[in-house]
Amino acid sequence: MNASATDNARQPSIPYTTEITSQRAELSEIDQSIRSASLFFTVSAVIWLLLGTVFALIAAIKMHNPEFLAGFEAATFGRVRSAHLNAVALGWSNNVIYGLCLWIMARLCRSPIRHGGLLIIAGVFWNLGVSLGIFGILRGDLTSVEWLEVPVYATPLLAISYILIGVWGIIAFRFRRGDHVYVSQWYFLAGLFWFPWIYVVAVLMILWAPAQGVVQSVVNWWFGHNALGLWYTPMALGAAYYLIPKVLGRPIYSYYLSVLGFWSLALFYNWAGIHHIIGGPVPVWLVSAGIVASVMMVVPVVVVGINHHLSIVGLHKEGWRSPTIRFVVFGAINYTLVSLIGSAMSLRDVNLITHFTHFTVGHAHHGVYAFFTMIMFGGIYYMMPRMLHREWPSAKLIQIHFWASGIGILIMVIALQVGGWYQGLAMNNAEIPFLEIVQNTLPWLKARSVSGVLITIGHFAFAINFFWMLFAAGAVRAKSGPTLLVSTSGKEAAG
Amino acid sequence: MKNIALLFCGILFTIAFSYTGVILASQLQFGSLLQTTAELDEDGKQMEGDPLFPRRESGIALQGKQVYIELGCIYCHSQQIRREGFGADIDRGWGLRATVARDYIMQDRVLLGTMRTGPDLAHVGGRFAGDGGREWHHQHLYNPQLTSKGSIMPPYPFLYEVREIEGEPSPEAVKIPADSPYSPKTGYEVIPTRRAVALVEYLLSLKVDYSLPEAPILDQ
Amino acid sequence: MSEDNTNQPPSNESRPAFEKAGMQDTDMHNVHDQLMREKDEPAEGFSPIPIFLIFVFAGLCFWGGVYFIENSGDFRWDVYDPEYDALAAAPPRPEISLFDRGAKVFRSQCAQCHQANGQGVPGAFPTLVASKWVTGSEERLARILVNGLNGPIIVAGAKYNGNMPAFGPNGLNLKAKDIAGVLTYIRQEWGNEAPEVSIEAMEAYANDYGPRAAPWTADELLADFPLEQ
Repeated sequence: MNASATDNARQPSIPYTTEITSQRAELSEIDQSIRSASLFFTVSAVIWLLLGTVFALIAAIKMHNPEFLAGFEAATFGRVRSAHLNAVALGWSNNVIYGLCLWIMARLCRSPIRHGGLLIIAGVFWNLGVSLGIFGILRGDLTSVEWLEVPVYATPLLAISYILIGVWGIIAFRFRRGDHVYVSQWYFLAGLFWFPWIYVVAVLMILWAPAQGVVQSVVNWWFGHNALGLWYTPMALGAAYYLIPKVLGRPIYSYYLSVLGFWSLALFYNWAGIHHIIGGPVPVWLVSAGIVASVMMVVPVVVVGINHHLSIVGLHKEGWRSPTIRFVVFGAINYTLVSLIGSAMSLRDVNLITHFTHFTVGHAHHGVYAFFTMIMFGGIYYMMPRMLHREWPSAKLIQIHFWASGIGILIMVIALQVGGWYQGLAMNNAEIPFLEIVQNTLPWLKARSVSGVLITIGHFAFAINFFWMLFAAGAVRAKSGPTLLVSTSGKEAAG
Repeated sequence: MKNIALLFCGILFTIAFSYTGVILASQLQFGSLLQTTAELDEDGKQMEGDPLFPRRESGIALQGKQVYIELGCIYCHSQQIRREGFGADIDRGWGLRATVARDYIMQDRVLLGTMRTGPDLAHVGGRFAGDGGREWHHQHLYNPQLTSKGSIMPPYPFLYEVREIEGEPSPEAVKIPADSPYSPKTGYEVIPTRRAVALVEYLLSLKVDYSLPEAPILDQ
Repeated sequence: MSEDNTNQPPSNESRPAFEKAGMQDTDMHNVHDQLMREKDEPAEGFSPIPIFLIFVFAGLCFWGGVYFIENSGDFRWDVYDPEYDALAAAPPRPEISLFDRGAKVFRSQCAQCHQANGQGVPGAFPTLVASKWVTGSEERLARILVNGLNGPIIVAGAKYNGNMPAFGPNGLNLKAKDIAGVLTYIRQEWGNEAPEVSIEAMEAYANDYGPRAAPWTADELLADFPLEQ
């Protein structure tokens, strides 16, 4: 089964200059310095991803089949749903960011990570914190504050271990070599600073020393939306800015667009979160500020979209063959889509319909999964061969992963948003009894469960491939040449 | 980018800007509101002797709120009423007026919510009250199909104890029609646990039935 | 614009294909295979920002400023409606018919038990459709609303056992016109045909029965007002 992949590798060799060789030796040293930590984070991330997927499936099924597991208090909808959110947000997303983005950061800074072993210890504490948090949620200690469900007693552990981990990125930056700072580094650096700020403020003002009344809700959505906007988004964009030119061997289209995109994101995303309480009990000026900022998000989104698109244009064929680029491009396209939809949803007339419905749930998954997670998958497909000095065992499994996840998330987004739209229209008409609206959402919720099954299949294909590679059966060890998805002749490569 | 100082300052400035504009400004502007009377006199002072709103949450209701939090009710039920003309909240009878910032000042944890898989609950105590309301809530929590056929709300059997009737049936028992598919075996009855009782008292206590100077209930 | 891009070819253009494996030396191969086939670390091109984008963004900024000022509610903490007008008095509410008022009250107060279609729930909440309790004596019906009703009741041949809450002064304290509205509504909806209940009549009932604390039982009511045939 390795025959054709090996053939790929046997294509005419390229004469390398000493300069290239020495550059690569430097990269090798950097990779080596963060290898065990990155592997630790990535393995944790994949485990949390699987756990989170199971929670998600249970929650999805309960939405149209309320009797399912009804007798178990720990499996009641409010808790499973929260366990899902935190497992994928803190378990999967944060771990994969630590694994992937710290590695990219180290490479771009041309600075090996010092004392990588300590990083693992911080990582162990982070994962302990997340485990404690999820356990607490299922046990009934959840806070019922959206995006901050983790019980109060787990928050100090999370905050401190985060800072210990984030510091590594900043130290790498401090000891960087070369005087040009690449766009990915801006995003990473900013995200590493922003996340602890918003997290500590939110935990402080909502859980530890609660602010009065709806100030809590304002803080809640400033945090909730910024967790996406100032943490997951910059990390995913930074990764995409690294991976696209790296794999395609072509520079990013425009430095100026990068600059404009970065600063407009930094300025506007910050304020956008209040659109989650449009029509709610907060003064109207605050809501209007949130709406304006959300609409202004069109600027960074269009800019980044153009920049990415023009960096890839003409190389689509190559991109399609590379697992990395395929996932990253899927993510980047959805970044543009989800953000434009998000800006539209913040307009009062649209929000009137979409608010309080499944439309928003679809939107959240669109952002965190179709954009963020897909780019992270792409990053893992790129990083792991370099970390393990091995190739991905099976192109087939990568194919399954891509199609199951890609089609799954599209079905989910479409089902929830179409169903949510009708739900919202009906809810604004007082003549329609509430139970009838609930009944009408059922087909869409069932479609969501189907999409969830597809995504689960994708994740298991990914996990099998991942652990197969990690524990390397003999054939995998010997395999050489990249695992591409379509061979040069256009046929699919054998695994 | 080569100017690292600018990069750092920009990163800090943008977050500090929104922190100031969103969080600090909110805290200063409406972060320390006080209870007040429904109407103010000509000088804008409180009417002496009138009751103060919003009311303080009672002990059992607070315990019930804890159950509400533990079960994650917020993920399907909001607690905010949008103004007349913006959505059908008031037309649906979910409330008498829009809720405003001051309505939430007595709450240690504010549960506005962002999802209405189920109806809004800000004023649910004004829609169900007394023994009838209590009974409805217990039936509905034990199994929503009893009161709302086709609902997708999960049942909460673990908040109730199904036990053998000893002697007289308990007056506490949840009334379930004998021919209902959800009724317990003959000779058994469904008794609410302490948590169920507290949760129902909390739901009954959720009422926005008072006027505030900035949010009067307009007489129809 | 994409032509600009061709001005900055990748430095390692000579490499023929994409993600190509490199070194043939077996030892190096194992260690550096993935590394050696990598492209260079990313670089940035310097294509200019398209002019039309600048205009679009300037337009957006202008819109944002105008929208924010227009909808800022004078930056007051107690303004929640963007259409708020400091000088205008609250607009008078349109008068609605008794039946429409009742429909609204029914949706919020009654539909949870008696259901939106008035059919109720077997065994627990009686049906309101084709029931003499609804279309018959006005006073008997008004009493149920004002004080509530406890215990077993036979409606349209079926037995129910539940607690109907009081909506009068001792219960949820609805206004007389709201109760009059809801009675009118249930007496004239779902094919029911009975005269409306006037606000004045309802006020009288509320005065008469309001002080009573205990809910009625079906037998008590039937003793005073036997069920019509």
